[in-house]
Amino acid sequence: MSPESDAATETPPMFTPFKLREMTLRNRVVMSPMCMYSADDLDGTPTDFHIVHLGSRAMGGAGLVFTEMTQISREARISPGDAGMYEDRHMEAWKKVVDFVHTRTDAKIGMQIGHAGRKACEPIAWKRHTPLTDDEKWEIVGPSAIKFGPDSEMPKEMNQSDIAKVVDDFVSAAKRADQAGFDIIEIHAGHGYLLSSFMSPLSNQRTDAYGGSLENRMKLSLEVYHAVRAVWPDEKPISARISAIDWNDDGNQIEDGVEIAKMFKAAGLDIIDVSSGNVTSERRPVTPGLFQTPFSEQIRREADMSTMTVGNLAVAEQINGVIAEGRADLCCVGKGHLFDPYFVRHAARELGYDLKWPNQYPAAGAFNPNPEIMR
Amino acid sequence: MATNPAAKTEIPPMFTPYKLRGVEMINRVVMSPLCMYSAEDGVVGDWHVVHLGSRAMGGAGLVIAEMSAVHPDGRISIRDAGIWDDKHTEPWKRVVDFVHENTDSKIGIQLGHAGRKADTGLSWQRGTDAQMEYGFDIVAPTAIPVSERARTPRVITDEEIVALPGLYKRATERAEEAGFDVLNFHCAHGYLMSSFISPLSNHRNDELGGPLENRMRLPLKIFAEVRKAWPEDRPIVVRISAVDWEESGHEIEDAVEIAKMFKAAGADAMDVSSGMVTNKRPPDTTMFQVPFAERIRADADMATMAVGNIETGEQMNDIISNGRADFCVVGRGHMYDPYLTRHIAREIGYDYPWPNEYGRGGGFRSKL
Repeated sequence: MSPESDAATETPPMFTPFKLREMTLRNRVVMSPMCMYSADDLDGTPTDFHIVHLGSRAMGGAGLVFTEMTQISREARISPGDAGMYEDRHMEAWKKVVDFVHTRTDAKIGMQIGHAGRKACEPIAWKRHTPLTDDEKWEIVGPSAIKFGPDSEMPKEMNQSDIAKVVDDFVSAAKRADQAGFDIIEIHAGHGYLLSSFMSPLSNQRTDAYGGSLENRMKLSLEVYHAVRAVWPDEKPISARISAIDWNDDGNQIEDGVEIAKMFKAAGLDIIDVSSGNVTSERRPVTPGLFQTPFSEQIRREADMSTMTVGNLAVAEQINGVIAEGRADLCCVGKGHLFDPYFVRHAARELGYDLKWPNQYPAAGAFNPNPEIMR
Repeated sequence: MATNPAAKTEIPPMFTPYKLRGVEMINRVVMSPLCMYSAEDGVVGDWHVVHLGSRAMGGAGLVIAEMSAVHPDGRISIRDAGIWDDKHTEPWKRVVDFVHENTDSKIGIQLGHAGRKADTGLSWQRGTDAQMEYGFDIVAPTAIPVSERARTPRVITDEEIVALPGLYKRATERAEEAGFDVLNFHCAHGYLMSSFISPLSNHRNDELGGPLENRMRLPLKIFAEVRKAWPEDRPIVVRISAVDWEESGHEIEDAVEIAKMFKAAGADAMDVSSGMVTNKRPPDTTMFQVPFAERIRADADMATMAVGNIETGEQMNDIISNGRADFCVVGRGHMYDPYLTRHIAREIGYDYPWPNEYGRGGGFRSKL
């Protein structure tokens, strides 16, 4: 946990290894989970698209690549295009992705599992102007009958048996993720999806044991965590993504984010992936800077646990700064990886750090993208 | 699709489309065939889906799959890709389908036979203790090794020569079944076809040796067979070594003649490389082979692809707008960066649409 010791070595901070349980990452860059909406059969099965998407980015040098938010049940999907982990055929298809990453690259691969809750049942992102037909729709659920936004569907308030099923579905997904060979699992407890919607007072107005105090609002997430931990191998770590703040005066503030992290830590969680907002249809502020890194930093210090930071990390200099200054242990890069599958290799080149190329690409190291500057 | 409002509306030369027969490439960037040494008994797999698939997503107008052997003894190494057996078709089809379903690129395959350069091992194992030779039966027009240290090939028999057009024909049929858009007929770099064409490796005194016309006889006979087997609306490109970089080898004037002969036979474009017919190394400087593509384009009056150390958007735009070649073939740059074409588009302010899945990638600010 002491990044200061890295300063003594020649290795740039972003290229120092990092260990969680028995999983050692070769560097501090993580490809953020990003929804691809490209499941083959509109029923959760990943395809060659996912092998190319994740495989090329694992080859691109990231220490860890995460699958998109992968849904624990059919009704948990954001859209019909979502990837799933609720059928054995999903496990088989994901195993091919995992095997590629393990046999052809030095990266680790994690799966983010989630349930979209009241944000489920939407069209695929690039078809959002074509609403789903009645045949395509399914019932959405939430902690309370409160809509995500004015144009959203009304969720059904979950009862105890709905809650029990969600816990079971998380467990089944985790077991399949282990069978497929994933190195780490991340529970999606951010962005207003089901677990997040229980955590935020904006969406949870229950009066039972799952609502009210923060402790009560955390009950479902902790139940899911414990149930997943019980079936997930000891040597493999677990992460949780949270919305550290709700960007709303009536919602969770950073002090709540710190408390949430502390509760997860006490339960045994290995690392927390600190995002924010998206809990209601009011958008979080979009700034060009590292607007979420202060939350990671505060949680890392006050909850005394490992964190990932995410949001607008664009250049190696920022990543080195975040790691060296102890603002996070890992840096999640999303858009940068969409723009450039070899984001990490290109950052290494820029920093003059010698990252070995795959045998198949021997001439890559001799390529000169900026002849005027470098020759 | 993400759009960049600041983008220029004028299309840079490298981003103009170009049509060969019925196949239109969306731009002038081609990913060079690159040996991956990652197949099992010639069968391609996930590696090739990711390698070719990610580069097709990266925006090149055409990606060309590596030299694929028409006969198992025509492989550079035991891990070369193949097209000699029906079992190779379906795995190649998977790669082709990925490219067609997920990208706007076209995809080609390079047909080859390594000849006297066969059985020399995986590139990254050369100089290690790994087993390099697997006892392939290596053949050549004449029993001359490619270098002093290389194995001496045996002279290809008349029966084998007679059988070659059929091997290429069946490979072509498999390529069609797999759905490839373009064929690249490998007649360069000292492999079997090239070794017939170059006087440095062909000392025969029958009708397949002697003057250039004779040395071209077998490659042209095979080309004719391939052209007949390949659909009328799909193009064939021929890769040649324009010069041998060695005295008493080919000079550019020979290459112009070679191109004219292929053109007369129905070739749609020449993919103009050079050398590697012996162990003499070419100079390998920036764009060192572009003058050959330019000369052939002018003197043989046909489409050309330029290859060799083409690295920047500026270079590609110059090559296309000055009529030095019709396509720029980039190998090394694509090893370094699968999204080379997208990144050049960004750099020169050309608004190149991103895949739906990567819409947010278009909005990425790569600089602070």
